[in-house]
Amino acid sequence: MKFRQIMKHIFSLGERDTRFSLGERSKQYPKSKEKENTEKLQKNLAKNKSNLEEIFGLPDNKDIVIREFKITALNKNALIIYIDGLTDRNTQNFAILQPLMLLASEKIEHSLELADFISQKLIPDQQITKTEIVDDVVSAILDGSTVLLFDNSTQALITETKGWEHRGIEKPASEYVVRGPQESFNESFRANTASVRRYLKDPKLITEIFSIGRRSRTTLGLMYLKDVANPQLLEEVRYRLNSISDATDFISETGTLEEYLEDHPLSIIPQLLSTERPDRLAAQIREGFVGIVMANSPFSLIIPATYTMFIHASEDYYLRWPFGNFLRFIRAASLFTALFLPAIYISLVNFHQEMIPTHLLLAMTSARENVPFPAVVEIILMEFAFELIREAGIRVPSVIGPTIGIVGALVLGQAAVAASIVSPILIIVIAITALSSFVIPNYNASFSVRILRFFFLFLAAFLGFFGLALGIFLLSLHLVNLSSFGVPFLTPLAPSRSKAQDQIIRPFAFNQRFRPTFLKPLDLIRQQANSRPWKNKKSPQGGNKDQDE
Amino acid sequence: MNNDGKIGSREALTLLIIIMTGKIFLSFPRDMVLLGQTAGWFLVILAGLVSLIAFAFLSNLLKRFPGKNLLQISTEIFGMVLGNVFNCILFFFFLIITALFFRQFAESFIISILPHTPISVISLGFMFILVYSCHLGIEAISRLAQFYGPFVLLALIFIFGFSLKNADFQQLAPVFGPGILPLLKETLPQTSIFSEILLLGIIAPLIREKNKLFKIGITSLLISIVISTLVTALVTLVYNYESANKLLFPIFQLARLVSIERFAQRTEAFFVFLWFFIAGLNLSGLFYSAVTRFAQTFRIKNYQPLIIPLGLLVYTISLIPSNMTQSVDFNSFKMNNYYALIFLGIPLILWLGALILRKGIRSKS
Repeated sequence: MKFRQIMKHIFSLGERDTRFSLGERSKQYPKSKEKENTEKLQKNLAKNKSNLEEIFGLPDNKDIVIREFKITALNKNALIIYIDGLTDRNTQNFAILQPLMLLASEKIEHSLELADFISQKLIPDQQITKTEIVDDVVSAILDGSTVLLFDNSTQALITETKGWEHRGIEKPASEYVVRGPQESFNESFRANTASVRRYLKDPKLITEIFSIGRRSRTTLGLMYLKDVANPQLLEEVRYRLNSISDATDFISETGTLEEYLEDHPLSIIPQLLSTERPDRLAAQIREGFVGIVMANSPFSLIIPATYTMFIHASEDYYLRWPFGNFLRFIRAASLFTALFLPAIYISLVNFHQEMIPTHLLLAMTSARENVPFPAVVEIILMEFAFELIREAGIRVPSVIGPTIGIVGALVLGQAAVAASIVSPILIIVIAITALSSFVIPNYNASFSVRILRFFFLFLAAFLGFFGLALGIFLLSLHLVNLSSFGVPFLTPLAPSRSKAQDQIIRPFAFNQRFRPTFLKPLDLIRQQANSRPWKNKKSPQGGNKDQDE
Repeated sequence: MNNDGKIGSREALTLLIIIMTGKIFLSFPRDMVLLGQTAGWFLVILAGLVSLIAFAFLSNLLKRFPGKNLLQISTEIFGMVLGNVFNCILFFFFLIITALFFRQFAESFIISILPHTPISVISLGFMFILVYSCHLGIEAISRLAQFYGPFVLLALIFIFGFSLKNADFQQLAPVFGPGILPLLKETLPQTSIFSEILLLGIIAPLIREKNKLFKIGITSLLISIVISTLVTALVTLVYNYESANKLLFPIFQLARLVSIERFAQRTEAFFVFLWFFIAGLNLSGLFYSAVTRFAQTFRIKNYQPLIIPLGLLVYTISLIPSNMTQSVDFNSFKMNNYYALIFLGIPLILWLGALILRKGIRSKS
């Protein structure tokens, strides 16, 4: 039996994933389970209290506060329950306790239910929800709300009193731009959704809220434009999120979530785009993409991702087109050097010396004369040293951060050459590679590039250009097969889409008429054919051609 | 086998062109020059014209049986047994063609850039590609073909353009080479150049735009004829036919001549990438066809477990010829007769069968 299993593993390389695509291959979804936990509150306040005490593990659990008091106007026993530290004291004191205990002098209206009466007349808080279910009460408490329970009622009032310590909106750390908004997401969920909404003041911008993880119960917002985003894509995203939310118990960051959501977890290429810039997320949402914003995570996710998104930055469109395009070209070139330069160097030096012009060859050989190691060892040594500097630069306390750069790069490089451990030309190669790898605008993508560089390096060290070509072919086969939520990763390129405009070259912003077709958005047209009507000589009124179509 | 993925028409077009013209990087131009002397290019055109006729039968068949591949068509016409025989023939055709090209491509890399590397290492590199690409399926292969297509074309134009300055048009004379009759005699066997168009009969059910099958086939065939003719003519122009038939890989020699004054010389190592991409795509497509032929003959639903065993078979067959020249001779001067027979025979027999036994949808005319 074991032999058979081993043979099966060797010979069957695993099924291809064809479960979902935006095209004709979609599948039916299993129905999501109904919530089972629908235990209701009881009429007796003491019983409710002891029930909640048991759930929260009182009296051991010192985070939970239960404050009992009397609603003077009604002459009823009541209590509020909340978690210390998650709530805002001022709201609790002045919007719940003070009115109920001291100020309320209204006469009870028998036409209203008790809970309604309290919420409508007695508590001046901006957001109150009624509930009868224990589970809702529990999750509201965990989320920073204050829950009011009172005698003779099966209903509880959830008062919104979230108010924990959090970081303010700061500058983006990894996606800095010179021209453009200088704000980034932070750990506060509401601050994040609000940031996106400030860019897209559209009533059709929907935020659906999920809670992920049985224990972490992380709040997660799914943001999209209702009349643009592809419903099939949305359904798939919802399906995956719902499946995860029950299946796992702890997800705290979008980085972890990304791994759960991906189509091909084995791949080295990131398949979802993470960004910390609200303007980027808003721009993608308006294109028909789906965004995920998560509490406690300063990075949002964009679904699905294609290759272009990893080499584009939001700055491309904030600058005029020649400048934006210049940046694009620099970026494309740097992607190439970051991936291949060490590999090309090693194959030139080891296998194809005839390609190097004679003078350069002489210079290189004389520089390498004193070096005792083969070129491969040299280059791996230096790459490793550089990765050390890079990693150390992040971990080191920020006061001595810049020192690491000087000590590491300058002193180490200079000394390595002086000690003739490496040749000076190699230092140049490594330095250019290192600089190029910092140009890649996405943190995840730059990781892929860093790792793939070693892959190409080894292949080139073995077989020269043949090895490099082998590596490129395998990588491109992989990329061609890769998909992100059913959208092929190389989309506007392979399979080609004729209407795709924004790939390597950034066209005029006013000429991009269509949203990306590969998303099959509900509304394909992004702007009218002539968005600068004063330039159009044929229809001086600035007529909208789209209406005829 | 309908869950193999879908192919767009442009993807299918580039894949077919690359698979048909892949051999120009091997000994193909030299073989043509050897047979047709100064009229090698004319021989290619003649062979192309004949293959257009064979293609007419093929496309008519595919039109009669929409949404079906050659196996399904042949079983529908001749029944299970004979249909499987046809499929077996196709399997062996693709298997042997894969193995022989496999060997030749591997040898071409040894000659061009890695002279001290043993053939097994190079072959192993190619094996990785065959196994991986076949595992991913025809969808990935054809997408990749479309992805590389423009680059390959650019590189070809580059080579053509730079070798034109070494061309001497007098070397095309005499125009008919050995004379019309010997050329006509060689025409039929040489239709094997374009025999890979049979791949269209295999991937036809997977192509999205069903009504474009004829257009895809005819365009790819015509473009392949043009490219092959140009290459043969260019080789004769640059090296005269006497010396050209002593070059094993003439295109590689053309690429060596590419130089931009003194800035860039001996850039042939860069063309390794072009070679490799063509070789990889060509072999992947052929190997995929062989594997799926085998799977369909024996009604195996999932062809994945067959990839590694058949890969080993390809590897072994490729090592049977004792050296490069034997492999080239075997492929271009012995087996090509059988390739041509299969290419001309199978569509014709199936078409006649369909006509006589009145199977399939009859055309409106």
